Order: sequence, then C-alpha cells, then structure tokens
Amino acid sequence: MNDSMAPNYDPALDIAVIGIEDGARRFYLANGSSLLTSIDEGSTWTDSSTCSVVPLAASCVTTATISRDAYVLLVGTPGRIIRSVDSGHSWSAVPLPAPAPTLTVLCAEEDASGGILAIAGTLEDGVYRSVDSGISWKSANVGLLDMAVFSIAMAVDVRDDGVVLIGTLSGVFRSWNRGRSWHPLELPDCTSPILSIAISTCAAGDCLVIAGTESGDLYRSCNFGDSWSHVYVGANLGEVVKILFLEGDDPGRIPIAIFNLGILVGHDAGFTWQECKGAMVPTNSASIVAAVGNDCVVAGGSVLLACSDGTTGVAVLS
Amino acid sequence: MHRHKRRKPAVVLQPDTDAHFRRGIDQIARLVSPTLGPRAGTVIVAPMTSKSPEVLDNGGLIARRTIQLSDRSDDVGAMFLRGLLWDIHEQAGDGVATACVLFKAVMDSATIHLRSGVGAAELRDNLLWGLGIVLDELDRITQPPESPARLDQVARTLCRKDRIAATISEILAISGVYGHIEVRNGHRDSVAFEFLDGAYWKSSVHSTSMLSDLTERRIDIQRCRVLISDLEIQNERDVASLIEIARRSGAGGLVIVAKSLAPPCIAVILANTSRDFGIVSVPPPDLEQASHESSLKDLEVLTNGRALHAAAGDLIGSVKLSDLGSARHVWADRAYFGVIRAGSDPFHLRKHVQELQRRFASSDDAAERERLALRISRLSGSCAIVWVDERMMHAAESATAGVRSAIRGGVLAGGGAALLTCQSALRPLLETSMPGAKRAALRILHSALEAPMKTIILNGGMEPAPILSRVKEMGDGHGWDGKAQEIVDMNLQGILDPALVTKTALRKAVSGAAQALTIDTIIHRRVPEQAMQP
Repeated sequence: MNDSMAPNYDPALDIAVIGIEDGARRFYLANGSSLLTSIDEGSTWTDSSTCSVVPLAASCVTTATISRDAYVLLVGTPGRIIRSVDSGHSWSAVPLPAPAPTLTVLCAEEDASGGILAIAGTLEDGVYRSVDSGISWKSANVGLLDMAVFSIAMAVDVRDDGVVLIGTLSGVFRSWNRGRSWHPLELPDCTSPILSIAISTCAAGDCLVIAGTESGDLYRSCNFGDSWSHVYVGANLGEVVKILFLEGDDPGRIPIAIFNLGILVGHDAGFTWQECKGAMVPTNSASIVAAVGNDCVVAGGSVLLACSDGTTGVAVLS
Repeated sequence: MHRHKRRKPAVVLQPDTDAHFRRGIDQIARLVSPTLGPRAGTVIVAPMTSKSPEVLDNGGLIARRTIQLSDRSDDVGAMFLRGLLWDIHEQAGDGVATACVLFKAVMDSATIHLRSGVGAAELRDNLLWGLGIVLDELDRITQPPESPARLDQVARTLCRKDRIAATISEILAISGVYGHIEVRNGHRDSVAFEFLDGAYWKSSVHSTSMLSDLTERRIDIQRCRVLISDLEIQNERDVASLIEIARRSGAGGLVIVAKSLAPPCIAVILANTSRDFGIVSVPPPDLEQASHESSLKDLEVLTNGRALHAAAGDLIGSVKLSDLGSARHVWADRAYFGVIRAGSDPFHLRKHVQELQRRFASSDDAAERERLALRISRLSGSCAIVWVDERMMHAAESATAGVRSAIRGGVLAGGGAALLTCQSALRPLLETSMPGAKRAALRILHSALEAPMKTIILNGGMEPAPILSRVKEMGDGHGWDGKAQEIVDMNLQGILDPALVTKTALRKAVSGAAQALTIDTIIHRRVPEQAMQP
C-alpha cells in the first residue's frame, strides 16, 4: 500500500470529492478529528479545520454542485452540520436539536428545483433533511421505526421519482418522496445493521441496489428494494464498509464491496461475488477519476482507501 | 326546558305505515339531496341556545341535526334514514348525500313494482342479489390512486376548498394510509400543518406546577427514563426511590406515567426537579377508555420499558432500572404529552407495528381500524396537525377521511359516473328472461344508479334528462362537471371519489332500502324518545 501523507493518524471516516477547474478535483476527508483537503488526487492532505467554526470532530462529509462554478460542502460534526459554499474558506453551522446527535452519514443530490436535496443520518435521531442546499435542516422521520442510521443511497434520478434508501440498525427503509417519509423493507434473514447501501447509478430509472451488513453479508435487489436476495454470506472479511458501482462494459453495473479486510467484485450485476486477490497494490493515485463516500475513492479499476490508521493509498482491482 | 307532549301508544298498519314512512324519508331526502355535487345548496339550522344559526353543506351533519319530525309516524321513517346516513358518515366519512339519493331512488322505484304485485320479501332478496353484481362491477373499475396528484384531486372533489384539499392530500401522500391528521381550530382564513416529531397522546399532567417553562406552560426533558404504569402512587418514598434510580442511571430526567399521584408524591417531584433533572408525571393515555391498555403497550414498546399493571398486582416499590423505558426527549403541556426518539428496540418495534398493520388489514370494524391506524401512526411518527378556520374543520375532516379511504381502496370516476357505468353490468341480464321479482330488482337498481348524477345536474340548476342522455352516449367514465357545467371524462378531469366511500354508500343505501320495503307496521310507545344519537 502506498502511504500518502496524512497530517495525523486519526481514523478516516468519510471521503467526498468534487470537480474543480480544469478537470482537477478536490478531495475532502473527515477523520473524526478534522477535515482534510487534497487537490493532488490524495497525494498530500492539508487540514481544512483551521476556521474557528469548524470543530475538530468531522464524522462525515459530502459535496454537491450548486452551479457550474460553485459547490456546497457539508460536514457532519457532533450535534451540528457545517456548510461552506466557498471551498471551505468560510463556514456556517446549523445546530441540530438537543441532545446533540452523532452524525453518521451525509448525502446530497441536485433537486428538481435546482437546489440541493441533502439528507443527514444520525445514530440517535433518525434523519434530517434539507431542501435548500443545507442552509436549514428539519427532522424527517415519518414512518421511520429505527433511529440509528448508518448509510444512505439516493437514486440518480432523485429529482423525478425521488427514491432514497437508508440502512439502519434493523434493516433498510425506503422513501418514494425524496426522504419525506419512510417505509420498512424486508431483507431475508437479516439481523445485522446495514452499514452500506448503494443504488446503481448507470442510468436514470436503473434500480439495482446492493446492501452490506456489519456481519459481512451482501443483499441484492433489482426493484428498488421491493424484494431482496441474499447474495453473499459474510465470512472472514469483516464488515462491509462501502458498496460502490464501477463503470464497465455494462455501464455502472459492476458492484464493488469494500470490507474491513478485503474487496469483493460483483459479477452478473451483483448475483455472484469474487474476492479481489492482491488488491492492495500500490500505484500512483493520479489515475483516480471519481470518488464516492466512506473510506474510499473510486477510479475506473482502482480504489483509494482511507484507512483507519489515517493513511491513504491506492488499490488496483484485478 | 322542552317537554314532550304526552301521547298514547299506537299501532299503525298498512297502507298508513307506507305513507307515513315515505313522508319521513322524503323530508330527510329533501334536506340532504341538495348538498350533492359542487354546486350544492346549504341548510341553515336554527340555534338551540344563544349561538348563531349553523350553515351546513354536509349531508351527514344535516342528518344528525335533524332530531325529530312533528308527526310521530313520519318521524319513524325519517329516523330510519337518518340512522342509516349517520352510520355511513361514521364509517366512510363521506357519501351521505349519494346514499340518501340512492336510498330514495330505490324506494320510489320499488313502490311501483310493489303495487304491481311483486312481493316485498322477494324483492328485498333480489335487490341484495343485484347489489352484489353492481359491487363486483365497481371493484372491476376501481383504480389505484397512483400519485399524490390523484389524491389531491380526490380531496378537491370531496371538500371543495382547494387549500385544505392540497394540504390534506400532501400530508397523507407523505404519511400514507395510517397517517393521522388532527384538525385544530387555527387562524381565520389560513391553513397550516406540521408533522409532530415522535408520538403524542392527549393526557394532561398531574399538576401544572410541573410545567417548568412558565411562558409556554410546558416542560421538556431530555435523555430521560420513563415509568409506564396504571398504578395509583400514594407513597412519597416510592417516588423518591424512583427518582434516585433514574438519577443513578445518568438520565437527565424522569417521566412517571401513573393513574394518580397523592399530593405528597407531587411535592417530592417538585422538590427534586431542577434545571439538570426534569420530572413530570402524567396519567396513562386514554385512561377512561378500553384502549388504555393498548396505549400502555405502545409506550412499553416505544420506550423499551416494562409496563406495570395494577390488575396484575405490580407494585411501584419493586421497580428496577430495567423496568424503566427511555427517551431522548419527552414533552408535556396542559393537554398533551409526547415522546420523541424513544429508546425502542427497532426490531421489536417493527414487529409490533407489523402486527398492528395485520390487524388493521383484517378488521372490518371501522372504529377498530381507526384506533389501530392511530396507534400505528403514533408509533411511526406519522401524526400531523392541521390548523384551519373553525368553519372549515368539517371540510378538512371529510377530506381526510376521503383521501385516506382512496389510499386504502382506490378511486372511481366521481360525480356518479362510476355508478352510471355499472348500468352496463345489469343490461345484459335484463335482456334475458328471468322471474318477475328478479327483473324488477334489476330495473330498480338500473334506474337508481342514475340518481346521483341526475341530482348533481339538478342541483346545478340544469335539466337532467338531456344531459344524462348525452353522457350515456359519450360512454363509460363520462359525467357532468358541475363546476364547469359541461360533460367531461371524469378520470381525465380528475373528478374522483374514494372507491370505498362509493361502495359503502351504495351497499348501505340499497340494503337499507331493501329492508325498509318489508316494514308493514309501526308501533308507537307512550312517549317517543327524543333521538339525540342515531
């Protein structure tokens, strides 16, 4: 593994990326104590949390494009969501209702109105929802029977049918109305928290969903969660940290499951899974072309891992 | 004080029974029928006290306000129909005027057949047989509501107040079939709503001194423990012990749900309440009702505690920390208390809600379904409050019932168009040869199915016959748009009715009329009871 420079060694919790000028990208990494930024594809990282409004404990981060030249950066910290629209130069904080909840995951997408629909998951308070690019947040727990939220996935065509899925302690909940209300979904034999969930983003209307659990199990649905198949039984790879979809011959249909101790690649659109042996091959991170959330940045064929010891590195999928 | 004139007991036989009974029915029908359709008339009810007269456009309420007719034999017919209409209002929330028109149409048409020698009992049985055919046809043409926009159209058809309709349909599109809407009197000429976070019950605190926020007359406690019980707590030492258990657990407060607290116990609570440790006590929700056990059960599941029951011999002195539930936030004011983000076991809560949903789906009892829906709504945080002008409260409640019904049972073309479409299911049977009573029953139903649309046209000030004839020419699903005064495709135009309401109105009207046809005798008691509740 290629150890890129990280200014400290706190556990990495979340990564977000946004395209900036000239095809370059800016990466943001929340590591539980600060928010790090990289503009050289993860080779070097600087601490963004010098501004007084940003507390040290950034637990999750997400970005979404507001216009051609601007993006919103949302950071979860204990009891507050912090927002910047100038690449982190200035910040505003939105406190959530007391007692302060623990932010676990943030997700944002462009909305039908041209604003940003953002959803924040918490460990104790369910979800908060913003329809004004993160300026204000409201509790959105109608129908939600489980307040411990670990993962969120929005459909690419969220502006049309608004499908949002969340993984919780007791299973998956689905919203058909852009996160305004929730309905529980039944996963067969699932008693483990849903730590990661992803919707295939290859095309509008696509509805392939993969969910991963704390016990390392993988579930697949091809109808936005109406029915599920148990496609992988957790063995010795630990918990599922992140589910991603890579570009491939069948666009967007190659699911990748990042575990604590390894990586699985899905075949047949996630019906069968195969371990990526020797995945941790160090390479130059310049090949990275896209990024998706928790712990990893994905490229066509490579993954940048932000590891729990605070280091980052590139893994090539064989 | 009003006194009834003492009257002798009496027996009224045919043909007087029929004449009186019909006169009573006609009186109610004349009051209720004008309220059908978008250009409905209103009824003004003279005040009973010093209040202003009441202007009503809701058939159910008009029937309810009609307490008694002056002729006691006419009154029997009127009260028969009134009871039936109120039953529909209670069960379906709407459809009263449609049912009234259908009932009268069946009665009027049946009279002709009875005079021609068809037996009443035979006609009754065949009307019920024909009703089954029409209901099957309604099932066939029922459509799912599909989208929030369709729900909005249903609400607009029902309550004729666009802002209320939009609000109600928006809330129920979010919260679904179990969503609970409480309509409260708000500011004049405005409509507002909010979803209340968590669950709340109507239950006032044992002492208003516990409401520490003196401005808002409210208390908010965070990270608290919850004692769930229906016990009567007499001993202040028990309360002190409870407080100590909660404090030692690191909680920020304590909520005591108990049937009653003796004054010394309340004093202990007030003495131990501080800025860092809030305490409040409330009676179990719905204490006076049979449903109070289910409220305790819901609180138990929601907070992951153990409910203590007086009937089971549970004692307050034996409470352990593990018996107490927990919640991130509890609030109480003078009338309500609520639990936000309770410490439930989500697996247990899911199962509990699933069980309630299963019971809801299998229950035919409207009141039971209403109770179950409210419980599910509370447990899943789907309770909303709508504030409307006092004069609009009935419209909002009616739209709520209708939209919920549409979500559950689908929608049909409104304005009587769906009922008119059902004529096509009877026509082929009428062309076959069959016994006289069967044919008579089908003819009665065939003619009655036109009655709601005819009445809507008439209420709009138009001549029904030519319009109805044109509607029939244009085919199924077409009807008279009373607002625009033109024939339209009701589905395309979004003039929709909740299917369950239409089916309930039809079933109750036809079966009620079928039963009424067999009445031969009226017996009067010495002093007829004044009918206050149907």
